[in-house]
Amino acid sequence: MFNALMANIVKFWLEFKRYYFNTISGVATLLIFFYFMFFGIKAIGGANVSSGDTLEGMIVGYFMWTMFIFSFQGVAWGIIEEAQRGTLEQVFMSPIAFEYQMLFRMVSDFIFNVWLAVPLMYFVAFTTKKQLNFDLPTLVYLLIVGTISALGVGMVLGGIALVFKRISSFIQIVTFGSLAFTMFDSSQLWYRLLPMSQAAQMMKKMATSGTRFYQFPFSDHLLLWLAAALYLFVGILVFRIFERHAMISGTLSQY
Amino acid sequence: MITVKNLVKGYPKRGCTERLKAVDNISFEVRNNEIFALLGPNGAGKTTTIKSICGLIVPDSGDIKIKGYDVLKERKKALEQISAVLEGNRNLYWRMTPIENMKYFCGIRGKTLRKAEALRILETLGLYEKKDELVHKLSRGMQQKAAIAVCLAAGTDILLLDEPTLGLDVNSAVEFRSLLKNLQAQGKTILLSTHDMGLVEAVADRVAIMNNAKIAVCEEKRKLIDLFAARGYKVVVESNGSTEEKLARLGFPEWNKDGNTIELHLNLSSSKELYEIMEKFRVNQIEVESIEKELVNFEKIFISYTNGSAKS
Repeated sequence: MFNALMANIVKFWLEFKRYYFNTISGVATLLIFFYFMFFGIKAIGGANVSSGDTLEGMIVGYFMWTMFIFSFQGVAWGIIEEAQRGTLEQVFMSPIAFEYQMLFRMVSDFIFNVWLAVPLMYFVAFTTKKQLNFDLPTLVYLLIVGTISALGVGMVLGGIALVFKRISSFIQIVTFGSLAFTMFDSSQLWYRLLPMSQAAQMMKKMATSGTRFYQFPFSDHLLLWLAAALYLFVGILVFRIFERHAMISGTLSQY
Repeated sequence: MITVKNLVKGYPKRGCTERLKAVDNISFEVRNNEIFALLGPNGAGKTTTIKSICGLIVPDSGDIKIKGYDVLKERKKALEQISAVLEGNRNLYWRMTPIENMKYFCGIRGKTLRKAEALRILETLGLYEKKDELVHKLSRGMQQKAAIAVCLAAGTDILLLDEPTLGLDVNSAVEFRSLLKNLQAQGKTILLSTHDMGLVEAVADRVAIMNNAKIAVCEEKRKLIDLFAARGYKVVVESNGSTEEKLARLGFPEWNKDGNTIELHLNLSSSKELYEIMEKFRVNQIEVESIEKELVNFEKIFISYTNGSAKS
């Protein structure tokens, strides 16, 4: 298992370097989109749509959302790309089950995304003259557990991609829908059971009142882990159903 | 090494409840250290068969065992025994070097590949010089070799190759044949699916000819060639005004007329049949100029089985 994880990390790094134009344009898009949002909100008087009541909170909320979408999109686009390249069946033929391979990919995506997102977050805070006064370990903890639910969403999308192949429009719908998940400002329980929502709520507390991970009540942690486990479980289950369907209909490698 | 028993696989036909049979109750066995060829025209069911062995397609019924492990019930164990090249050069990440591809695919199988071993494999395949070249910069033949290198890096005894010479130029295809023989000499068991007759003729030990989702014949290549060599005759007869009419009356479907002679190609089930034909010629006053045993190539055998003129 460790070898498989390492292989995926190395591959991610190699492709990150080799497709450098894509990497640079991705970072540029991320920044441009953020600045549009940030200055737009600032211009209309600081509307309360951020992951906190402050623009600092919005910076955190935005990068959390990007981490979330990168995570689930990584799996779905990964499957589509692999099917197009012709490598999907090779990955499927590994004695290590495909859902583990996808899990390792998401872990490697996550590692690189954190390395990219956290410095970028500080960069935009610096360029927008905002101070980020939060605890980095708490941020990373919330990102890790929050991203587990993204992994579940990614597995569902990956499963759908295996059968329906071209699902880019659907991915876009989920991407924009997920913006709402991280920006709901609600005390209702069911909102917090949506993917990433509980992590976003906790992050809001962290951004506004400087709460550290050990200062959150147990119920918050429980809800955070419960949502993560629920979406991961459902994601793997749905993925297996679609995977089985693709293997029965013989459409695994088609695109 | 590989046992396929009563394998059946169908796909739903668009717009009706009937299923299109891709593989219809086929059985065969691949033995240790042999090169076994699945030969057939497009749509015969070769790829469905090979993908079912790889665990990529769930069959409707039948058993597939690899070294005794059931592909469906003991998937992990079964897949540990094989490695495959299913889509030729498309099996590789093009923005990675051959050695990076080898390491990655080994890694996702849970193995580590030492650099020395990777280089040894590349050396064997004549790819050593290209070890640091990105795959997309390699020629088609080199990419095909790189795909084989990935397959070999897995360290399995059994290799499955689907259309391995597809798209290769003549030189690369010929080189590829000796590569397969070398791999066999190293103890590998190879199952290949192809419609490349030259490849089958050059390397295969046993052949299963598939047609219309069934196996038309499964036999040692040498025996098939001998069998057809024993059956094939070229008979040249004298052509006069009525010879063609007589041949048509005797039921010969086709012949080639060349000046004063007519050439017949006979595919007989026994030598007794030849004597019977000669007797008919004598009775009908058809003058025989020569009789020769025909040279048989695999293409003729293949066509005989796929058009139904030969029976296994």
